[in-house]
Amino acid sequence: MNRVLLVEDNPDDLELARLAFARGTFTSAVDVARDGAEALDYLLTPRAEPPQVVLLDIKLPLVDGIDVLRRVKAEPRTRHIPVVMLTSSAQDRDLHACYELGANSYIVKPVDMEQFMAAVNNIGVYWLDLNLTDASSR
Amino acid sequence: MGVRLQVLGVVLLGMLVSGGAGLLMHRVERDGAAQALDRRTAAAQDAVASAAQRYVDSLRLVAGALEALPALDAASFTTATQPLGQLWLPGAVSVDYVVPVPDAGVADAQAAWRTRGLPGLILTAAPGTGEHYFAVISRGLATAATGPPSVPGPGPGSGRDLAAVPQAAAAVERTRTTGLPAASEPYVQLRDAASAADPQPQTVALVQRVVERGTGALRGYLQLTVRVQDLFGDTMRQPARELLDVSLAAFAGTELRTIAAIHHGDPRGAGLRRNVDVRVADRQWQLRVAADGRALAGAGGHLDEGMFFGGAALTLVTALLVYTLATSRRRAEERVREATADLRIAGANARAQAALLGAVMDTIADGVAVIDGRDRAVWLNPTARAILGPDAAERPVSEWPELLDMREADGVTPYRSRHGGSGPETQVECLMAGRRVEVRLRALTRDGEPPGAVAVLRDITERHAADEQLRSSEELLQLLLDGARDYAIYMLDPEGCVVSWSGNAKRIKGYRSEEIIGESYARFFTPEDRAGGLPGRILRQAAEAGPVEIDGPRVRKDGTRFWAHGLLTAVRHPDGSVRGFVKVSQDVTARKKAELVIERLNADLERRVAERTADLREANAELESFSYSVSHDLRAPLRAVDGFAKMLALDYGDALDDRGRRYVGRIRAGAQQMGELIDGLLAFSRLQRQEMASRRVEFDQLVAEVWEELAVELGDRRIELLVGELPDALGDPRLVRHVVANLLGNAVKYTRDATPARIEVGHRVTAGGEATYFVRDNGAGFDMRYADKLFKVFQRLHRAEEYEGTGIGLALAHRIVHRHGGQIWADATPGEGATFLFTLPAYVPELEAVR
Repeated sequence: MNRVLLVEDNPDDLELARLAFARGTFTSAVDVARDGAEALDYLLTPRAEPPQVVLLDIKLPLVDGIDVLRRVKAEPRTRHIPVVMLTSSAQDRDLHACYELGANSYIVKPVDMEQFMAAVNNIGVYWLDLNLTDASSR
Repeated sequence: MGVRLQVLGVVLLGMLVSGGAGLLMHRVERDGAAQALDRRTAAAQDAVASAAQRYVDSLRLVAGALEALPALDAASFTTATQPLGQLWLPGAVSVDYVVPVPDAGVADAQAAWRTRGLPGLILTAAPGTGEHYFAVISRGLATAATGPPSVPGPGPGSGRDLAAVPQAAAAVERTRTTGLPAASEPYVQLRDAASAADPQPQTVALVQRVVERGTGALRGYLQLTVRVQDLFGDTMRQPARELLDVSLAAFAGTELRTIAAIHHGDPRGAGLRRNVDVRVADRQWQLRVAADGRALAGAGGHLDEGMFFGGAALTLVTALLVYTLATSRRRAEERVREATADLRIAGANARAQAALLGAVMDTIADGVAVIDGRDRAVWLNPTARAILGPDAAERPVSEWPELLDMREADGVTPYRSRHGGSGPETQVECLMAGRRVEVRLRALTRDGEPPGAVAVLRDITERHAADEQLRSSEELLQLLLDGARDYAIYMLDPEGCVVSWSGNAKRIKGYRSEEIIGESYARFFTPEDRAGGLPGRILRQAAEAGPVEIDGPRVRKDGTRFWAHGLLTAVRHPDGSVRGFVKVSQDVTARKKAELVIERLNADLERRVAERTADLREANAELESFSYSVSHDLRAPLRAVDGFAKMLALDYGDALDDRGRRYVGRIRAGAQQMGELIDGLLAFSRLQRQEMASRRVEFDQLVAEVWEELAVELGDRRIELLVGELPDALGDPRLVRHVVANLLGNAVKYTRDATPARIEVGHRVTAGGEATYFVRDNGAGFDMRYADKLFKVFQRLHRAEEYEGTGIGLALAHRIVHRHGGQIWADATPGEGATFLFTLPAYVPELEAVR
């Protein structure tokens, strides 16, 4: 089973993202973390079925997305996991920092739901169905 | 018997009478000798005094000639001392020109005199410090009667130092202070000291100060060295006859030393002696005369005994007769001899004076003409001949004005003759043969002759030209001083006292010249500056380090203060010593005040700029965080609205009727519209902060790229695009692209209903470094009445359902063009289309190369 970790504090966005995953052309299980600390707990705890991709909001309470990204990419056990950043704006000043830290892609959360669904589907097809994880970590 | 008795009686009587007569005659003889010696002594005294005076006069005349010379060198010394060689001055050894030189200046003086015709001169300083007196030029005089011959004619002085001869140095000191000729104490010249003569010949130096005519500045000294014995021997040849011993003594220190003597016998046998004083320059000498009264009086020294031993009355009578006759004859002869001697002395003196006068006349720079009452020039000296020309002497004086083209001092009016004028002396200035001559006329009357005149002519052409030049330069200077209205220009002496004042100085400082001349310039300073010693400090700095620029407060006469800006410059003598200072001062109070105001304003402005910058930075930071939160937080609810509306449509669409589904669509359209508005607003505010990077914008390529992007969304629409010649612009390509995209996008949008749609992009003109571009369409156009709203945020001229849009695009374009320093405007007619024009800096390759 393809497993996805969704890190998002906004309940509406979280719900819509779940729906977008549910309506994707791929099959997956979605785990959720509501803030950065929870996300790190989840990711740094050894588990039988680690997520194949992480969708990580930049702006998070407690520990923000960039710090989560830094820890994940610094940790040898987790750094091969693809991380897709979620942001509200294409002009986000943090996007550049994210790429520097090793983020694999990003989605600008659009107002138009159809666009968002299309983006999520692309993520799912690319990282889950085609299972390019190994290729990217090699 | 009677005869014998008679004879005896006669003899006895004769014996008695003879004895008595003998005694009587002895006394008569003695009285006559004393009188004769007195006369002889007086004659000798006169002779010595007049001879000495002649030496002193000669010295003064030559010194006077030296003073009249403009500059002194070997050649001019030769000319000036010429008369001395022609005069009979026995014992005169040499005449020297002596210059005072301080210890430190010996090398300089030697160098200076070497350039004045004395190339081989070596100055040998006497030991000891202080002032030296160097004989730089000497003329040996051939009239020295005895002693080693001196070299006649002029030549370099030995360079010897008179300080080595204290007697001569003392005389120099005296003439320096009195200006009168001085005679030294006697001394023995070096070359005489070696001679075996006993006593050694004594020398006296006669010294006369030489000053510069006009200024009175000391030039040097003229020294005439005289061996006294020669002078004395020559002078006394006549008067000393029949005297046993004549000598001349002078004080050497406290000792009265014999400096010349003539001996005719053993002075110890002298029965009579006389001592009289003789004045020589500023000294008294003593003339000593000794004589044997008998030798002096005559041959009848033993007459009384003859008488006594003759023993006859007749003899007595005869002897008495003979005695009487002899005495009277001797006295007569004596008188003739004395008169002859006096005449001879007087004649010699007169000849000497005439020779001296002639020599002086030949050498003086003034022309002298003697004119008699019969219109003839009877005597002209060489200078007069030079001034009047060769012909004048031969022609009547009344023809001179015509012959010499004589004019009055103005140079125009023909000369009016003053010859024979009323006054005793007339002075006129006139022009003679083109030269300017000062003429002094003195009437000359002699008994039985028509009145003549002595004319003294002085050529003042050069002096007059120099005076004229000086006057015109002084006038020019005064003009300058008065013309420079803003400047007080005045002069100070070396101590800082005002020596000259100008009208502008009075205007600026308030003092009249009579109030301030002679006062210290320190009174222009404020009391604080005076207390701090500033006035003196400025003077010292100007004297030592060159011109001082001055800027500071000063006080006027009435106590008011002003701000002065000026320059103090030292004026120097040729030797580098400070002669005074020139002060140029300007009242810059107004400027100073303005400077202070500007300074304050600048400080204020800087403070305000700093404040505003800080404010702006803060505002920017706020704006940034604001737009960040707008971007993140404002869009989140919209995403929820649109997202759940979409889910509603997807999952529950079947449960809704058509109307319900339309409502959901409206909800989503509204949310998306608002999202776009927020995005536009963010882009707009970001532009404010964005850095601009100007470089070449290749406009035609930019238009092609934008059009390519737009064409993707055109679908099946057909638009005719005309692109004209587009010059390159200078700007930020990213931002310029935004403008082009916006204008082209609008053109596409508003030509939706035009058939055929036509869009034209072109360039109108490039001038003043700006290029004007335009985008024209044949679309909907707009009403020009609302043109002012066109470029404002959220202002739209069309309803949303007609033409979609956020109302931000043109506001963004407007802001970008303005940030480039350009303009944007539009021209339109509803239904016929619109033209948008904008300017951007033109790209000039040549300028880029410079940049």
